[in-house]
Amino acid sequence: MIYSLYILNKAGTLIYQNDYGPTEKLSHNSYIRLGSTFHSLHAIASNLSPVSGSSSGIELIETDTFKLQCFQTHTGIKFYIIADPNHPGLEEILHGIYELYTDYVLKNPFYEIEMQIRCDLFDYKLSRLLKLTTD
Amino acid sequence: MIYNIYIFNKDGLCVYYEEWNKRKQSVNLAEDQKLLFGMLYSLKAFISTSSPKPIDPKTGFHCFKTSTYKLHYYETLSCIKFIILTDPNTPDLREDLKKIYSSIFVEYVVKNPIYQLKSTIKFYAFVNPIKPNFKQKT
Repeated sequence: MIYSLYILNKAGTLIYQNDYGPTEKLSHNSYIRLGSTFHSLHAIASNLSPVSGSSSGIELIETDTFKLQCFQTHTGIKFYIIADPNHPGLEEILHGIYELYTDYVLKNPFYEIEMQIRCDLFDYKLSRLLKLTTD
Repeated sequence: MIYNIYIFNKDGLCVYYEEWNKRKQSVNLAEDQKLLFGMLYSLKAFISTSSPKPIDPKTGFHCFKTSTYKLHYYETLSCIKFIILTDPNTPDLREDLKKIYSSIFVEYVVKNPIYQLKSTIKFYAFVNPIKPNFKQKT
């Protein structure tokens, strides 16, 4: 079961968010706040690394009720999904979402980079991908 | 491989800190400890708002992972926080943290009559048993 998906641009602004499970709806401002909180936690986590050399930020958070998996692209865009604690293959799903993003958002001539994603085809393909993985 | 361990009291003071295989010298240790405490504070708030189901903020959070380390977290009901940083492939260490709390911290710190609450821990009776506990895992 996948509960929600967030996409943050390289400055930490929320550019896409959608809930899939039976989760409690929050206000738009709360989603934006959650997105930027995650961006800063991600940055601090890479700062606290006990090993020299650069560390990535948070890749996985485990809790009692959910699991959060994050994938950061080389261009700094962060995709993260919140799913059931024992959901397998979250990394592959995130790579699949990235592929959809490059195909249906970046190649969309009307999409302005770093801005809110409002592309119907992307929404459609995304819901199909997530349906496929939950079935 | 275990890198370091932190114990925070409920006011956010790092009462105990030890490092074993840390490969990076920190410029300012006290500053790092404060940063970690502050980060966990917001991380817990983040978790309780993004959780799809109601979650207990004290015991709900288990660990997080980056490409170079994994942070294990255990918090007691009295808000004492036990944190361990290890390499990313280590299995869950929360049971070990619980053991440190129940069999070492309670025995040698809480029951110690000269221990002043809210001060750092420097007793050999506490420090010595922790080391073999983790030596076998490193």
